[in-house]
Amino acid sequence: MRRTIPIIKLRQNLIVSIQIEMTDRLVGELKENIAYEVRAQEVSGLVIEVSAVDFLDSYIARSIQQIAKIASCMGVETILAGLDPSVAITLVEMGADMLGVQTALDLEDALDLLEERQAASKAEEELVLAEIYAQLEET
Amino acid sequence: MKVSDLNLGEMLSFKPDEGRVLLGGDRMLIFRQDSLGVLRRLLYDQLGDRLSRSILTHFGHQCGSGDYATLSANYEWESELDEMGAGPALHTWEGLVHVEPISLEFDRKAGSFHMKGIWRNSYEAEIHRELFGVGEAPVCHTLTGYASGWCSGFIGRRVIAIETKCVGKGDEHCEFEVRPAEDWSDEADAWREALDTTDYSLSRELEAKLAVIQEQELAISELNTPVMEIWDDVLVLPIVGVVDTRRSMEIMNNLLLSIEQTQARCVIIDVTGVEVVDTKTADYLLKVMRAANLLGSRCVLTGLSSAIAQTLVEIGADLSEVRTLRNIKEGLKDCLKFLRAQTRAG
Repeated sequence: MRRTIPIIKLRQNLIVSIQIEMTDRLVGELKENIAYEVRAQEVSGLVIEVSAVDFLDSYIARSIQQIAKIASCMGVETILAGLDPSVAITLVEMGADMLGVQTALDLEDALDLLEERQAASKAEEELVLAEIYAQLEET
Repeated sequence: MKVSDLNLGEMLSFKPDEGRVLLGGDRMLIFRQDSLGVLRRLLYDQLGDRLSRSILTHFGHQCGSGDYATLSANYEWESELDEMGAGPALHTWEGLVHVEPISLEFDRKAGSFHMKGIWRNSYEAEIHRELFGVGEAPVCHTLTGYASGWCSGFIGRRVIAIETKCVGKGDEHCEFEVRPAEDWSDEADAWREALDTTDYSLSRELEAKLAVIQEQELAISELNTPVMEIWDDVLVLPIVGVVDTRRSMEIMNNLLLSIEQTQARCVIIDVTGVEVVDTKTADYLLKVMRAANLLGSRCVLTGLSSAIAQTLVEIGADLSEVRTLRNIKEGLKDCLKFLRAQTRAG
């Protein structure tokens, strides 16, 4: 049976938890699927959870960076959650660090971070709207 | 002269020293049937049924009316019946078909005409069946054209010959009927149309279509890049359809001009209506945004499709200086926030 990685929508965010060994084919497919879902769903954040991954090669690391960039093109912020310490060390030693992709300790942490930002953005939005309504009433 | 005296073998003068065959003063040509078959196949392949039929009918019509003109000018006929009957006889002599008249009534002064007959060994039905097999409609277009041409010449008004049976559609022999054009109702429409469509021309039609396409291109290029001011200091440039290098150039010019005129501080470029761009165009789109930034406007790109997002990332485009947001709604919110922050700061 072909295995695919599920993409779950939770409130304002998409969550992708990688729990199987990543192959080049699988990561390419994941890239396509995430790009599609980000476009189709009304979300503002994407969490890639990798706590079950104990090995990442440079190709897959770069693909995750690309996924984050693609999501960012469509206005969606990406957080990489639960990076295993040994994987982190390997990545740094390979020189393929996750520069450009924000990371968080675990899934909970990542969701907190995203929700915080969404709340802040929402609050600012309401301030702007309040001012606009005030202006409209004046005129 | 009587019809029975007609002998094409004696009437034709072969002039091998000149490379001509003459009937009266007119040059006649002798072709192989199979080469005419090639011509027919090419006509049908290249021009389609309708136009081929019309061309063949006109060809036959000229054969008929030309033969009538030559014969009536060069020979004295004993009776009107002989003069008329020379047509079917000559048609037979020319080896195109064997004509057997069934009935013939006419009154030249009153202009009435009615003829029925049988065609056997039609060269045209033979060719057509060989090329295209048995079809559903009659196929002897040069023969009906010939009959129309000859009889029109004879009676002095427009008559139309139609085919009621045809070997080309599986009948044992072909049968034809001729009446003045006005006496036919809609059963002769196909033959009438074939004779009428002289001014239809494929090349003219193609030229006309080409002109329409060019007009539309122009119209589209004028329509396609409106720049709208949707808020104080906020411009929106919605891009719809295919973006090629030429169009992205126009978009750039248009946008920069609008920014200069309105002094807008924010620009939203929305590409929701664009499904795919090539790498060159993606690159160009980023250049447009950089140029807008240089003029002092803050550029936001919204509504990127997943395909475009992937293209941008794959070409390794530097997106650090470009704000990309999900849709135009988010874009407007972002611009309003930015303007508010600026007002606060200023």
